[in-house]
Amino acid sequence: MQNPTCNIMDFCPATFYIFNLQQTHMAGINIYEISDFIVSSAGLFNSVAIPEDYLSQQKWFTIVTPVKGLQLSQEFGIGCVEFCSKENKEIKRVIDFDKRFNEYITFTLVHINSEKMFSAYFAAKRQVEQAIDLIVNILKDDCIYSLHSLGGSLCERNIELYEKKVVLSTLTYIESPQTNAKISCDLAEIDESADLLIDKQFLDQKIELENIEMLLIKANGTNNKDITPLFNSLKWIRKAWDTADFEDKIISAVIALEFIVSKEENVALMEKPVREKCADLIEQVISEFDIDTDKNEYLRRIKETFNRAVTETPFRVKLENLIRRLNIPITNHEMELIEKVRKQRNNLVHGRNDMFLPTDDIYILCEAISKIAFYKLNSLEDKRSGHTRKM
Amino acid sequence: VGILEKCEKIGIELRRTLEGEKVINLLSLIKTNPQELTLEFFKLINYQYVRIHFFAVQYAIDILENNVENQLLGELVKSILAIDDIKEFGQANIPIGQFVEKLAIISFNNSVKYELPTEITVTPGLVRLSNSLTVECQRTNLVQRFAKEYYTDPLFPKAIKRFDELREAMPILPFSKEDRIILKTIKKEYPNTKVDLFYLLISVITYIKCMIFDSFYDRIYEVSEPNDVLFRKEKALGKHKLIKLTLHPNKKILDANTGWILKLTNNDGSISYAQIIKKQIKWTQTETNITIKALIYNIGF
Repeated sequence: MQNPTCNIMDFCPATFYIFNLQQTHMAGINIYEISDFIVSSAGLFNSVAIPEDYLSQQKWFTIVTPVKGLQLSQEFGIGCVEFCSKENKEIKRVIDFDKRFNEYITFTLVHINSEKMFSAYFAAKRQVEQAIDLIVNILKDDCIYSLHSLGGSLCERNIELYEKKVVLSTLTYIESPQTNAKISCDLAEIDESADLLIDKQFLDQKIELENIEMLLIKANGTNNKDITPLFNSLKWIRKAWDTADFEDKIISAVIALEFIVSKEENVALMEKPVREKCADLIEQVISEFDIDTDKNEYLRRIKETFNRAVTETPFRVKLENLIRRLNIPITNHEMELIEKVRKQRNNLVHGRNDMFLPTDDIYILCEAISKIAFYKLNSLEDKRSGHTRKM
Repeated sequence: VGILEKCEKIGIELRRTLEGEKVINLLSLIKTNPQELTLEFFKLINYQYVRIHFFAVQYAIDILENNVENQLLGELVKSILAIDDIKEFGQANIPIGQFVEKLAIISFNNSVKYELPTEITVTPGLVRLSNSLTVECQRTNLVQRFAKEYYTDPLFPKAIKRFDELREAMPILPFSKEDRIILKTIKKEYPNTKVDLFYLLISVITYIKCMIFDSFYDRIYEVSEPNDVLFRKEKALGKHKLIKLTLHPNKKILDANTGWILKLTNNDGSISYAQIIKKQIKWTQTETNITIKALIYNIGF
């Protein structure tokens, strides 16, 4: 592929969430690598059929991504990420390959050992974001001493900097030094997608939204404990739709669900008389043993833990109760996705790496969560505002 | 140039590791001893490091220990070995040597999944530089070409074996006169084998280790063409470039503490790294002539 702008659109019939291939520069990259990169960037990981005899092995990749809002007085590194200026020899090579990089002044450069180009990009992006998180948290520190007063150097701070955002560009360059394969693309550019249209049909149907609009008005400026969390959930669903970052999609989707379920009633697993009887028995058992610590305090903590375990309804049960109570048409597949996303969120929080849900599943999930939110909003309107339902 | 530049930075960064700091501290303690006592020790290291880089320090101590009973030098050897901290200095170089040895090989080998080194307590800068060096080495595609020949030409492994036999265990500078004679012999014996390919790989790996060693011990010989060079001659040697520099008499005299790597700032401001093949100082009644012959590798061919 001598011509860096390659016409690969013919190979890609599914285009609605694929980055702009017309603006993609590539050289020396084989069809399996590029196919895998394209579909993985759309969230469809490991879905390209690779011939059995195709040698897939660990390779080094160099990933260069511009950063906006960060200016360097000299080049430096954080973790495995190098922060470079335009004058850096590596960056000059990248600019020669794709002139769009010339518009930036600061770049990140990471070398990643990976089997696939997209997973290398994904790992690099995560490392760069983590490095930027660290930098921003240090630069926006207003303590007298460095490192939030953990360090020993005196610092001068400018709190105006609190407003400044450091943003990683979606333009990226990936190179395999071993095979000399190169690609530069803007992963945020959605190919030929039209603006969301407020058309006549929407306006005709908007009347059906009025009851929820009334709730919105009611919640505006107040912090209504029943209504506000539901509108907050919409905000997080939107974030899950919009963010390009797969981790953020997962986290946002789960936060949205938590807002929806937060005010659901606790249904105690154990009736109060039974619970009290059990607590008495626990007290009796503990009194028979010698314990080093304060026995009363120990007993109080045990009883508290026991009570919590049998009175607090787990998240999943609350959600199922809600779905059952409002008769929300959620399919088994959607429920499975909810389970998966919660598991992935837990893995993320506990630092375990996991492959994320593909984008199309995320979109199904967002739609399902949105549906639950709207059903709940609608149910609130029924009970509280007294408006006639138009739906 | 990329590879050598990274190696130089790696050598400097290695000084910041706990192991590096320890070595540098021990070195300064040893250097407080009279030069006439330490000179032979450092000369031994200087002779061996081309082949075994950081391990040369312990090796020099081993040689000394084997010569305690030497009739001529026994007393001097005993005095050197009696220097405080000298044995600890030898041992302290070993983990760094292990790291450098592994790094030089892994940098060309793509099948190894990257892991943090265990030999030394690395700094983040060292991790970045190691990754960077690996990527530079991968760009040369040397190992891939080497592997192809190794598995397709049955004479290729034999030629390598023959090369080792001829070179023995001597610390020979790559592309030095001795080495070129060996290379010529093998080329004659294996006329259709890509001898240059394995020779380049072996030489580059040696070069990397020497470069890191020289940089760590601040022994890189720095020359500025506008300020220090009286004459510069160069000629092509295969795909590499042989340069001969006649230096200004005021330029620091080469001594046992100067390594075999030349860092030349050219007239146009660019930097060339070269492996010194020959250092020569000639005194006449009226002047001192310092000449250096060095080889600028074309690593990427």
